[in-house]
Formats: sequence, structure tokens, C-alpha cells
Amino acid sequence: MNSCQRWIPLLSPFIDGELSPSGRIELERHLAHCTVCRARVGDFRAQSGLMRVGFEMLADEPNFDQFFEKVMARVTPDRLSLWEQWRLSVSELFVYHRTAMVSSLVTASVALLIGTSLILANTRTPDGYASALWSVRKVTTVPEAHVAPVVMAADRGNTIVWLVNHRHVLDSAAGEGSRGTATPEGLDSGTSTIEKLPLKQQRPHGGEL
Amino acid sequence: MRKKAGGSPFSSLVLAAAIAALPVMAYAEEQVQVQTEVILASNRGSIIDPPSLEKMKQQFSQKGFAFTSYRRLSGEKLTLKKKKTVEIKMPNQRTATVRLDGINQGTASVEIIISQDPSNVVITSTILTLGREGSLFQHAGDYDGGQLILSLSPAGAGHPRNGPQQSRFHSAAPIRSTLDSGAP
Amino acid sequence: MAIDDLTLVKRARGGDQRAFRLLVERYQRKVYSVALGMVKDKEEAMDVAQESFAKVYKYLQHFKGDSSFYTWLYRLTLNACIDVLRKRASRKGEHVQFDEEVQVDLSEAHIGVLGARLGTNPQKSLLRRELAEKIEEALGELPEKHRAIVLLRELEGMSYEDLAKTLQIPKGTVMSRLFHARVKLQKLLSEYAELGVNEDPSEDQ
Repeated sequence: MNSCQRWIPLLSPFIDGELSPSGRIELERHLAHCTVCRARVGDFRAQSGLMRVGFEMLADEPNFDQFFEKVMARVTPDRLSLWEQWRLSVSELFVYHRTAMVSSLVTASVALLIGTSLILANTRTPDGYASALWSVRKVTTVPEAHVAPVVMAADRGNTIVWLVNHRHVLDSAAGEGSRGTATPEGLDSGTSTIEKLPLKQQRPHGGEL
Repeated sequence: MRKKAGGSPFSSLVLAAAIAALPVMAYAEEQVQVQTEVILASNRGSIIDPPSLEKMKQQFSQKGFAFTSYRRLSGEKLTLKKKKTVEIKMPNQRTATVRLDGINQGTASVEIIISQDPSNVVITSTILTLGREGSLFQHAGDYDGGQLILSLSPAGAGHPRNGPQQSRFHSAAPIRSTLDSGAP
Repeated sequence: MAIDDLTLVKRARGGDQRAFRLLVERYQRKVYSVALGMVKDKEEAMDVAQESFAKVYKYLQHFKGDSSFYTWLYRLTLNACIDVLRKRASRKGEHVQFDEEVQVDLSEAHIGVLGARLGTNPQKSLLRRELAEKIEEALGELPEKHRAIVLLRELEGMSYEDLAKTLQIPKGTVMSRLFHARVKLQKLLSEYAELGVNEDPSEDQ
């Protein structure tokens, strides 16, 4: 048994296939005539398999349906407000450049005042509204929802995006992403307003515009 | 920056400019405001409430919708920031998630996702760019015998709650300064 | 048609939320499993898993792409798990044993028992949840260091090289740590197997 001492720690990387080729050959030579070590290999392998299967079984239980959305929900609230971030970076600067900071404070506050007053005075074109008209770029529906988007452009940048039972879409003017013809959910009340939609006359702009 | 020795006038100026630029830069690029409303369109009666929805009725009937009644159920002015989405819960067990995709050369790109409660399964996603004029009417499913529509319009314009429409979007809009170009 | 991790990461960095969703869906279960193995509590494990992906999202811009995505992901997960365990231990007043070296038990008594009892096809042996729970229990008795490396190796099938990257230890340490962890686990599981809970003859392989 003493002669096995040097081999035993190698059994673990052996079952993982992580021994060097020469190491593996040497070990296999030992295993060829050592039943005890072969049994040990069996133990390691059994345990390894057991771990994997046992844990996969336990991990099958929870529902991961909303997992992604919950992840995104954690991301969205602001951790640090903008002013706190600014304050932190400024305080960092103070620690390392005290004299420079003090001497530049006046300059900084003047620049800051000018900057913020420009922002405040800026009422003509608010952020994000540089373009003249609104424009829908892309509408996607997921196949499982069984709805097809119908995109209708009205005048002066007004757009209607309507979701139609997939069954009601008579021609291939359906928007991007619609597939299948199963019973839709949520829109199957069959309200008369949907049927009044003159779909055949529509010229929808489904998909990328 | 930590390795440099402070003290020379030039570096003070650089620092000052950097500090001044921080809030201004971030402020200028990070947000957009939109007005949202949840509207119930139906054939129950002929109430148009508020009266400003008359315009919406016209646009809809132009496209073949024959609803007789348009009622605003709720409205909210949203400030969208990158990576900060806003959720609007709708009465038909659906949620509209509105997010700012980004601002590219002064034009904001916004995404609206309609998803089902409580499973959060996404039903549809609409991506659009904003402008001084225009609006989006996103169908959000049926409710109470009618159809729910989420409307998005420029903040301050469209369907004001009280009083006259603000005309700032319709006046000439000269570019004030490089600050509002949205570029850092 | 599976898109590789790095492409998804690049797209996600560019703001493509669908790419990020694909990444999450690809790893959510495994990350949860590792977390469950580490913290032993389902709710906390779910919490850790979600928090890990949230961190990934926040720090996506900082991911250099020099290590594989999943070693980075697991590192975040393990750190989150360790935080949970430390908080738990400090609440209870326990001293968290993180650097414990396990004595190697080479006694003959247990050799061959596991292998004989369960064979190398564990599926048939896992008809009962009890066994899975026993594994969880045995795992819980390991110090975190060993728990982590066993989980990553068995659940994720991580190569020693990736284990070294994830745990930020040299490859030699990976080898010995995994060995020690397995030996200890084996001892715990063999005791269980020998106690004869699985007396059902149909399970004898």
C-alpha cells in the first residue's frame, strides 16, 4: 500500500483527463497491477458522476421563467445618483491634488456656473429631440404571443402600432417576428373593432423601416 | 491623474475644465422626457375624455379604426435615462417598459416593451426615434370591452392636462450651443 | 445555431439586450447550481445568481475579454457566495474556515465501496431525492474552498486551466485542492453508503 501513496493524488486529475501524457502512461502502468488503486479510481468516478447528477436534479426545481427580468430589475435603479458620482470623483481629486484643487476652484465654479446656466437656458430643443419627426424603427413580436404587429403611419410623425390576432392577418403583411397560427392570448375577445380593421386595404410597414 | 504632481497653472486649468465638464457632459447626454398616457378605446358610448383626444380619434379613424370612445385612464411624464427603465403597469395585467436606448446626434432612441404580468413574458417590442413632432400609439391589448393604447408624445406637447398647448416645439429651433448636440 | 459567448458579450456591450438575455439563459441554471452548492439555501442561491448576472451587466464594459466569459461569471458568483457565507458566519459568531487543509485519509475501509455500490452510472441510483440531499449535505461539510472547486469541476466541467483562472490560483493548487476535496467528500458519502440506506437490491450495480 505504501507504494500507492505517490499514485493516489494523481487519480483525481486522472479521471479528469488532466494528467500529462507521460504521467498518464505511468499511472496506467501502475493501475494494470494494482486492484486497490483501480477500486479507488472507481470511487472517484462514481462520486464525480454522483455530484453532477445529484446537483442537476436539485437545480431543476426552481422556475427560471422570470429570471432574466429579475436580473434586469436589479440593474435599473440608480445605484449612485449623478451628483454622488461627481462628488466622489471630486473628493478623489482633492486627496491627490490638494494645492492644484484649491487654486482651480474659482475657475471650476465659474465654468460650472456657465455650464449649468446654459443647460437651464436651453429650452428650445430639449435633449433627444433634435429630429423633426418621430419615427418607428422596428417592431418585434415574440412568436409565443401569436400576435402580428401592424404598423400604420399617420401624418406628421404619428404612428399606430396595432397587435392583431395572428389568425386575422390575411396576407403576408404581418410584421417581423410573427410565426405560427395557434390561438392567440389576450386578443381573442374578438372585439368588433378588430374585425372592422380593413386589413386587406392596409399597407402596413411591418418590420424595419 | 494620480501620478502627476499638481500645482502648475496649466494642470489646474485642465482639472477645472474636467470638473466643470463632468456634470454638464453627463447631464447633456443621459436623458430624455416623454409624455405617456394609457388610453382606453372602445365602442361603449361616445365619450372623448379629455377633449384633446379628439385628434387621436381622427388619426385612428383615418386608419380604419371605428372606436367611438377614447378615454384617458392615466398619464405620466417620464424622464428616461440610459439603463434606467420605467415601468407602467396597465390595468389589463400587462406592463409597458419604456427605456432610453441612447441619444445619437441629439435624437433619442426609445424602446417600448409590452409584457405579460406576472410572468414578465415579452409580447412585443417597439423601437423608435423621437422628434419634435409626432407620437406613438402602441396597442397593448384588450381591456374592459375595449382596447388599451399606450401613447407616447413629446414632453409638454400632445395631450396637455390643463390649458393651452406649449408651442416650444413648433417654433424655430436654432442650435443653441454645442452642449445640446448630445455629443460628449 | 449557438452563438459563442464572446460574440454575445460584444453585442451585449453594444447595448443588445437580447444578446445579454441569451447569455443569462445559457448560464442561469449552472450559476444557480453552483450558488446552491455554496450557500445551501435555495432563496439565497437564487438571489446570488441574479445578483451575479446583474453585476455582469453593470461591469460588462470592464470585461476585458482576455479570460473566457464564464470564468469571469463564476468568479463573480463565487465572490457573491463567499460574501453571503461570511455574513452568515459573522451573524452566528462562527469563524469562517477558509484555509483549512484537509487531512488525507487513506484508510482502506472505504475504498471501493462507492464504486461498487453505485457503479459509474449514477442515474439509476438517484431514484430517491434523499441521495441528492445527502450529497448536498456532504458538500456543505466541506470548507468553502473545497466546495467551490468541486462544484465548478463537476457542475460546469471546468478544465483545470479554467479553474485556475476562475479561482485565481496556480494549476498545481487546483490539482491538489480538488483531490483533497474529493477525498473528504468520498469519506462522507461512503459513510452514508455503508449505512445501508439504499438497501433496494435493484440499485446494486
